[in-house]
Amino acid sequence: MTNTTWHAQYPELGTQPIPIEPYISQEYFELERERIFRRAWLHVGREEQLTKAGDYLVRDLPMARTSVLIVRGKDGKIRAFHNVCSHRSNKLMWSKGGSCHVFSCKFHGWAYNTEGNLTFVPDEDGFFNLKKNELGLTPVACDVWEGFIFINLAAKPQQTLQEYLVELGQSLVGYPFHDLSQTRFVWRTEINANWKVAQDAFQEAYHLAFLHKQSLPDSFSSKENPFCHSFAYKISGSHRRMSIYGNPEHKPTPIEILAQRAGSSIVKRDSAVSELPPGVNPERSRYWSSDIVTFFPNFSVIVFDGTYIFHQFWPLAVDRTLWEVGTCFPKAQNAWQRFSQEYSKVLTRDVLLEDGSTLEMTQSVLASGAKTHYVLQDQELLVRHAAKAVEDWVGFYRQHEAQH
Amino acid sequence: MSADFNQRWHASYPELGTDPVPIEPLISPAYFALERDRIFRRVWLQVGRIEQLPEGGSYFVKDIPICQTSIVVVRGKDGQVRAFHNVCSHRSNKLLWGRRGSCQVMTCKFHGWSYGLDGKLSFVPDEENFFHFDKGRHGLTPVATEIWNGFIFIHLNPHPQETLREYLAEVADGLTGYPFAQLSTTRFSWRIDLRANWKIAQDAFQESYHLPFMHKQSLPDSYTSPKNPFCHYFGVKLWTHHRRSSSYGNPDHCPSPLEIVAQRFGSSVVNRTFAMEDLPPGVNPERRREWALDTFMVFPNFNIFVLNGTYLTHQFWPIAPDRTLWEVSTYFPAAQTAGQRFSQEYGKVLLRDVLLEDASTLEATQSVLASGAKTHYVLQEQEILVRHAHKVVEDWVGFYRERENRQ
Repeated sequence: MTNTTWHAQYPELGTQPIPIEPYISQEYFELERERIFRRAWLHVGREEQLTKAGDYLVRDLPMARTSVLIVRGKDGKIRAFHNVCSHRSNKLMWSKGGSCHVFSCKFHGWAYNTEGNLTFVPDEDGFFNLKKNELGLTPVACDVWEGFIFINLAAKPQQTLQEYLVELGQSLVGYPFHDLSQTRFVWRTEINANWKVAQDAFQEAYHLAFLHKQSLPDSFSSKENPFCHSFAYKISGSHRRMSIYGNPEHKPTPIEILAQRAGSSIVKRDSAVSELPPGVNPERSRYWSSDIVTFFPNFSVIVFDGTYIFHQFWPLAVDRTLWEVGTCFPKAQNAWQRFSQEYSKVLTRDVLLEDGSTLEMTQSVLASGAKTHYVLQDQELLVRHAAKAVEDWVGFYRQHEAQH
Repeated sequence: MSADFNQRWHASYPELGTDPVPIEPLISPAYFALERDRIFRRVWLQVGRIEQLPEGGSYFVKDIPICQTSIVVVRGKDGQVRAFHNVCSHRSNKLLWGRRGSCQVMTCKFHGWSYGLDGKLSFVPDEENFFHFDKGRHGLTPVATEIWNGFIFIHLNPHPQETLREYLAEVADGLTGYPFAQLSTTRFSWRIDLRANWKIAQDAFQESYHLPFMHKQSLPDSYTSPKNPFCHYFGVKLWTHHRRSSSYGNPDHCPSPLEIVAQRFGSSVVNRTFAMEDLPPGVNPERRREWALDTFMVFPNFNIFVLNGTYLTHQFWPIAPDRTLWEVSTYFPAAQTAGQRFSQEYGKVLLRDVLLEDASTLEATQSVLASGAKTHYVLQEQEILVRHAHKVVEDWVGFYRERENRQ
């Protein structure tokens, strides 16, 4: 393996230790709220969750102090609205999702159709100059990329979703997300850690040989590459990607051998490289296991050959995060395939529990003052970039410097 | 009641006043934040005993949530006890996750960084990929450590303004000669996460007024008698930060049959069969024969109850304005016979019963403290230690002082 210095390719990132303050500061958190989460495109779900007209999803976004209703209209179009009744601002839909043709508020019975128009007001005559057509639900910008639904809470987003995702979005076009989203296992967990502490754990492979020595003893490291060096990094605007090494000599356990006969898992190595779109494993390396693509601010997809995982980190407070993880597969055609998926799911769970273990531990001592900075090495390039991308949007240090 | 047990303590400490004391410091998050910055980050804190670190490589971990940190206390190969923030120098992961153990190298689970027992960074996997990296500059962050009578204290300021001995002052004087080393061989400990402010919990052990009521089951006549029905102290000493009291014990206490058996083999919290001359001069300084025990309150949160032949400690670690980790230990010499072991078990179980009675009011009190029903505590003569404790906290915190200055 060659030891390229990735930082040399991105000199604007520097090599200095990075400050811990953004991970513990209430002031920083408030700026993230205003300047990132109310302005950036945010992933909120998959098209497969809204198969027919009237299917809807509710996404509570405490970070942005709102709840959003995402619904497929009779015209087939997916729209998003603030989940807030136009009358007295009661939260309109209280469930996580469902299907209906009329959205009725529980408070006074105001009703809206799937296009967000106000269709019925009980005792309408009692209002004064009520213009129903001006009192529809408040729309939220909404667009779809490769089946992933995104919203943007800005009144007028500065970029379209395509412009926002730029080349890393483009690079995943052609990956069979639709086929691989037929079976999804999703975990949601609230953790006592800053959202960036959680996300950082999935932006470097330096920890694999240590934290995952139980669950992944030889899948992602080898004598040749003991520290799981990644062989490709790509930074594009606020987004980033790394290609993760997989050990071709990995020795599967007997049960893993059985599972692999019927489908892909996160440690399967017999991938047909040629079937992947050109933007996935762009180096066409035979050591490739997966690409991790993180779309700013809080959404990552980890694409393997035949399965993918997504992570999303929703800030709840400066030291609290809702972490959503899904592992996604094609529809199982037989029991053997179903077993294979279950195997991969349970292995993923074990790996994630190891990852989860450090997050709250780290946060519990992060404000001690024992350390003020993180020391990062070359293979932690994406952690460094993530911090820089956040700061580019937030401008906390820029503003402080300008004041001096 | 005998006049002998009716001293007017407040008259000796006029600076304390006799007004009701405010409840706000027991419920206010703002007050709690000031306690963090102005007390707990600035004082010597007891974290454990040297018996917990028998050999080179022995360590224990002490989480200190009010200071948003965790501390590892470790004995080096050179025998020296050192303390560090339990925080890896790489990405600030908590280094050691267990409560105690023994090791020769402390290794972070996250990326495998390893530290020697002296806190020096000894191994960094994939080191050559760091930039301008000097391992010598990335050791664990040290914490000031000193030992007094086997009690390990730490100070979160790496350069404390006073030594531990200077800080302990009158407490150290008073306890000189008490046989802590001999009595610390056998230790029973309880840890309780309590829904109450740390001062509420501590206050329950700074007055004896409650004894005839709260403890009428467990201690019907050990600390009270017709001569002294309200368990009045016969000795109280208030210092700048710390304080001491001497508690009455009823010499005519009628032991239960089981207690008589237990007392044959050793001391307990109700044992009365000791030789007064064995005590050092600073303990029961009044040399009263009705003496049961002395309490030494070490500011801010560590209390030592010394008896003849056994002692116990309480520590109250604030977690939130309404949450406290309460740690209690009871200490005995090494049992030489089964009879002595039985006696210690008796003492331990009796103490547990007493503490369960004490604990019952703490959460009940906190649950209604912020109701606004009352804004102040009314304190009587015998609750002077509670009054002093609140004053010392306020002396350090300055919440009311600053509020007055603004007006």
